[in-house]
Order: sequence, then C-alpha cells, then structure tokens
Amino acid sequence: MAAYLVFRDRMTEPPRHTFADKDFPGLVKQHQSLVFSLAYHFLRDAALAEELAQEVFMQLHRDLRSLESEQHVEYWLRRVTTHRAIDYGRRQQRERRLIPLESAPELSTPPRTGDPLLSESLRKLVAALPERLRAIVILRFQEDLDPTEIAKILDMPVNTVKSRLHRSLEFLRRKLERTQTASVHAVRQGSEAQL
Amino acid sequence: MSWIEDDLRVALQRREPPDGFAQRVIGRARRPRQQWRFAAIAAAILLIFSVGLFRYREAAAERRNGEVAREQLVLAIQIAAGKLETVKYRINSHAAEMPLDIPVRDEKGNDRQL
Repeated sequence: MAAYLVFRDRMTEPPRHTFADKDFPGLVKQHQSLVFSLAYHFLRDAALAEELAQEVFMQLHRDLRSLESEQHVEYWLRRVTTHRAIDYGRRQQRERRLIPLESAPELSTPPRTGDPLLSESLRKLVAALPERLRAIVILRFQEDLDPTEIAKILDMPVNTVKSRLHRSLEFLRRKLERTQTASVHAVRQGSEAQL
Repeated sequence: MSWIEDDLRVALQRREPPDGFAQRVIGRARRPRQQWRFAAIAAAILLIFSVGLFRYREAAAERRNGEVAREQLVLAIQIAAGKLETVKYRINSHAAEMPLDIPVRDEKGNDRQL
C-alpha cells in the first residue's frame, strides 16, 4: 500500500524542471553582475573578483542539473559566491598576494555614486571588516536580502545575523565619522597654513 | 542609522564585470570537456601500455625460469651419466680381475674345476 502511495505521488507530482547545458550562457549573462559584484565588494580587487566569479560559474556549469528554478539558481549563486569569497579573503590575508596593476582588468562601467569619496571610504571600511561581518553587510546592502535570507546563506542563526549587522553598522558609522572629522581637520590645517 | 544604510546601498550597488567576462566563462566551460577527453585517451593508452609491459615482464620471467630448470636438468643428467660411467668402469675392471677357473665344491666335499 505504502509503495502504491509513493508511486501515485510520483506519478501525480509535476515534473521537476532542471537546467541543461544550453541554458548556461543565458544564466551567465543574467547573473554575471550579481556574482562579480559580490566578489568585487568582498575582495576589492577586480582581477581576483573575476577569477572567483569564473570559478563560481564553472561550478554552476558542473552542478546545473541539480538546480530546479531561477530562484534556486540565484540562491545557489549567492551562497557559493559568498562562501568562496570568505575562503578567498582568508587565503588572501595569509598570502598577502600582490597583483601588478597592469594585469587588473578595467571595469566596464564606473560605479554610479552620489558622493564618490564617501562611497569609496565606505567600501574601504566594509573591506576592513572581518569576513563574516563583511559578507553580512554586502548581502544586506548589495543584494537587499533580509536577515532570514542572509542567515540561510551563511548557515547562521537569524539573531546572530541581526546582532552582527547592527554591530557592523555601528562600527562603520563610528569609523566614518572619525575619518570625516580627520579630513575636515586636515583641510582646515592646510588652509590655515596657506593663510 | 538610516543615513549610513542609504550610503551603503549606494556604495555597494551592483556593478558590471569587465568586458568579455561572459564570453570568457562560456569559453572556459566548453574547454574542460575536451581536456577531459584527452586525459581519458591518455589514461587508456597508459593503461594498455602498463598491462602490455606487465605481461611482457611476466613472460620474460617465465622464460628465464624455464631456462634455469633446463640447465639444472642437463647438469643432473651429466652427473648421472658420469656416475653410470664410473659404475660401468668398476664392473668391467672387476670382471677382468676375476679368475676364469672358479673352484666349485661338489656334494661329497671335493673341490673341482668347472
């Protein structure tokens, strides 16, 4: 009887949609900015970010048949990119690898910003956060995910994500205020010296 | 804290990857399969070569053992032939020394010549 019920369920459930090799180019074009941006904001190095993004897409190519929907692909890409970026970040910290400036590819579009200096300072401060906190901040503000989704991607309790996010924002706010105060002070000193 | 959240959204907005990124990824995704095929062919050739070499060495060892056994047999035959020769020589030399008139004692106890 149980076997019959399993058989009946299998026969009545809608067929699972899986991806094939032919879908791969479309998926790359659709999600390239997601993957590259996650990697770039995490590593702050265009060459490394491209290397990481390529590896993520290679893994997607291998695992394509196990993914069932567009949402599944997007979730999978965010998860794999974030975990790989955390590993890369740790490795980079150990090796302190230096890449010659000429080998870094040019970004095709400059970032759109309100205040470029403020944005650059913020990106630098985010890059200085420990890996897990950095991942939380990037997923929250680049991908606009809520703490529940971030917790799922990072395999963390939701409350931990919330508290770490709060702590990170507090840290960034304080650092930014200190930086701005210091630069205003430097400008003031510079103008006084000129006078 | 909302001002910093807004600024972070601006600072961390998505950006496009370098030109030709998608083409490079798609090209790379096509490449490994060919490499895999070459690797499979190379592995098959290597396997066939190793099996052949193993069989050849096995046959050579068997041949060597056969030759050693043959040499031992020849040596054994030579030793046996030498021994036989010695025995034959001794028999012949004894027969030559033996007197032709062998005394024989009859029923009454008298010696007589054959």
